[in-house]
Amino acid sequence: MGIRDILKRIVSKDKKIVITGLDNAGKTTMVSFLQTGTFIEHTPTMGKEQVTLEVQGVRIDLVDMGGQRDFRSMWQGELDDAQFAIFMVDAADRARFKEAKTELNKISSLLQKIPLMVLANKYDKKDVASIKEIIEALGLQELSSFEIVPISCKTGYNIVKAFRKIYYKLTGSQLKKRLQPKALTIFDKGGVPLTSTSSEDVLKGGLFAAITSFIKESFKSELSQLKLEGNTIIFKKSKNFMGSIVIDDSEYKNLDEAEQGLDELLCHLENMCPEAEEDKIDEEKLKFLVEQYSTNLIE
Amino acid sequence: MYSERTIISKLGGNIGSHPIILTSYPVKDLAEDETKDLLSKCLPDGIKVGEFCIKRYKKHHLISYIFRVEKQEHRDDLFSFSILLHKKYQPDNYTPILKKIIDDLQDNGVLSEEILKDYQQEIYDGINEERDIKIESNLIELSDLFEKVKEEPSDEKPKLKGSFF
Ligand SMILES: Nc1nc2c(ncn2[C@@H]2O[C@H](COP(=O)(O)OP(=O)(O)O)[C@@H](O)[C@H]2O)c(=O)[nH]1
Ligand SMILES: [Mg+2]
Repeated sequence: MGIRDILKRIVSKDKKIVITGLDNAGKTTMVSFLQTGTFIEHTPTMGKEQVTLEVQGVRIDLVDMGGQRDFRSMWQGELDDAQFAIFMVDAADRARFKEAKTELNKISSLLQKIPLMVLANKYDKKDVASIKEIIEALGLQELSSFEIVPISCKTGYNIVKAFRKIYYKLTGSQLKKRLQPKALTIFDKGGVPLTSTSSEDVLKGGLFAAITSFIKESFKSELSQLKLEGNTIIFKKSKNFMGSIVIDDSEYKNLDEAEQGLDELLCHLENMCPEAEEDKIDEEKLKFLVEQYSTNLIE
Repeated sequence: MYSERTIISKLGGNIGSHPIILTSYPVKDLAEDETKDLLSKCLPDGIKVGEFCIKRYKKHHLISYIFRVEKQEHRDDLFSFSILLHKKYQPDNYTPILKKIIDDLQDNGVLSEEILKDYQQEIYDGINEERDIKIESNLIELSDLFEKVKEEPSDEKPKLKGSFF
């Protein structure tokens, strides 16, 4: 390593996160969710894959390790110069908790130097182990420190929350505060509301009626925004769905962010509900998808 | 062309599995060291579906095409289809042939581990004889492709172009 290299390391703000965990835990699926904003089915990982994300000025190298037995011996080497470790576990696969614990123990000495986040994945499934159960099964309480967050790399549940925590541990500063939408509604392409989530009861009273009638109007017009009772309501159409998001007028400056969030959600829904193409929307499924994904938008 | 060997490797997508060489033709019995060495070159770290990979292996180029095979009981698995080609050949010229074989099998809905195993000889012979390959009722037309890549071995002097010569 030359002098320039050393300097680069000190000056640059690159951070390295190594993602470990047994095969089939969902590591690669998470990386691709972070890149695309939705779920994609993958083949298993050969050895390791590396991607670089830029998050608010910090370059983050995510090293996605193969989880199969042949590759686990590589984890140590990668963790050696990492700033953060993720250990992912399939929360629905109780039969492999013991194996997961063994592998986690093998790297535990390294984990005294860098922070660890355990991601309990597949929390979209019904039969997942509770967080308490996972802490006990993996013996996490024996580690000097850890955090654990339930997530789903299929629905996006809690992914932003987990990465906010990681970012904070990694950089010592909070990710820029995201806007706080008050409500989110998804409609079919005919303008019929399918599901809503809200942080307060903002959708009670006249607002919801106003939104639904406006949605019908917006088919004809090019309008995509409405101001009402101190709120701004944003509308967006995708191929088979429409969405609206309500933000407080005081957050008007974050309009772009709200639009982008809504856009990402609609893309995700289009990807997850191909049946909507044939007008066969499963409302229960859609409701669940929106509920899980909106953990990234509404707290 | 002359290909010394065709090799199919797979990563193994089910729990407890690991990368293996599924078929090697005509040389079947590989020593452990050789298997390891070949695997690391046929399926290198981080390789993804649709990519090609060209490595040196002894006196050969090892050319691989990476693809996925759909599985019923497990998730899709990562495979590589590789050939060992004498180093005098230009490896880039042969990547379309590997791709064509796999993509055609896929398009005809017959790409599976069993087919790749059962037809290893036909695939190997077809490549070496530069002819079409017949797999079940599907004809994979390679002869045209081979026509296109017909080339002089690269250790000979390149032909000079232009009307002055
Ligand atoms: N239901 C569900 N399945 C998931 C989730 N995350 C990943 N999977 C599936 O789990 C399998 C393994 O995912 P993968 O990312 O390849 O695991 P890796 O071996 O840890 O990289 C794939 O079939 C994924 O589709 C999730 O959050 N929920
Ligand atoms: Mg993986």
